[in-house]
Amino acid sequence: MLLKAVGVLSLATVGGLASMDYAVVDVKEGGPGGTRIVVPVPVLLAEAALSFAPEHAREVPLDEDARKWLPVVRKMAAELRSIPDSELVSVQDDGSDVRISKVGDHLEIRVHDDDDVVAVNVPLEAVDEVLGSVRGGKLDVRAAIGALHRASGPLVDVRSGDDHVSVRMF
Amino acid sequence: MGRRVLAGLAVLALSATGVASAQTIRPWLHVQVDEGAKSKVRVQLPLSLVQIALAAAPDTVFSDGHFRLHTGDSKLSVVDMRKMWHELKGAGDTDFVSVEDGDETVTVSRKGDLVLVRVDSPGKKESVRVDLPVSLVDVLLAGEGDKIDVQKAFDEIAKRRGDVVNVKDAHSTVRVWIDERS
Repeated sequence: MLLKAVGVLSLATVGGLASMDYAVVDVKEGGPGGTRIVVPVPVLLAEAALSFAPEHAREVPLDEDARKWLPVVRKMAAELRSIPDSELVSVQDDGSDVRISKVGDHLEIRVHDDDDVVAVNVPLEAVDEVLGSVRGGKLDVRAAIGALHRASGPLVDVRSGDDHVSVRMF
Repeated sequence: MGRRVLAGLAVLALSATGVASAQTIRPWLHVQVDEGAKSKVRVQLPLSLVQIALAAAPDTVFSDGHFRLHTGDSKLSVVDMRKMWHELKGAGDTDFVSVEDGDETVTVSRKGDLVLVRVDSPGKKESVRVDLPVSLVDVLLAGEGDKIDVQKAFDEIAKRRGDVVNVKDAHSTVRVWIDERS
């Protein structure tokens, strides 16, 4: 009986862990002997951990400029979600290439500059959720972390020379 | 009876498609800047997004939907421009202004429902082409004092389709146009 209970509990734990959203941070140092660090962070645990953090760590005060731009950015994110997939901005200048596109529910930012390649995918729904959490001029960090549940796939990918940093949601 | 039902459903489906198309049609602002072969900028944004961004312009320039046009040391104030426009508007197709200054020729004229601004400097290989709908100039100069109602001006621009600005000089070209394609 006890064995069965342990077995069920183990399966439930593994199943629970497997069904969680994870942010995987992967940092790879190039060159011979370069180190690699891969850190999977269960988003739910990060949210839970924040509950124990002091209040000043759970809220980020926004300055006056940021508060002024907040409703504009929310409206722009909402508008972007309603338009068809399109390349919005493209700049090629002196060897660098910058493109901003709306693809699906993301804003994709791609930058190629000599040895540097940056790819950022901003989930627009998450932007709305994060900015919507602002109360009294303060950003709710827990809501910002929770918004990661809305994201999937690569969020940030930066290559500089032989170094590579990526953050992906699973 | 069956054919009538099918025909009715077909009409309904076509109507729904028309409504859906009308709902998704939106004007896009396109900006293209080329500086030789080394620099190219392409921006294309739905006008609705531009309008949202305009609302965030600094208060000193854009306040409550109005833009203050400061003519600085110029002797031609917005009030003067407004008076000139009201007088010239009824003249029909005509040249409003034609100035030759050395190699440079500036003309402002009306053709149909457009006000055409042309600046040509053959020596510098420069040319500027700006086409403004008469209705837009009406809106721009309809306010009071030095205020221009940006919201109304924007609504007028949104109706425009085709080139708005074309500038060429020896090294670069700038084109701004509005259409319904992203």
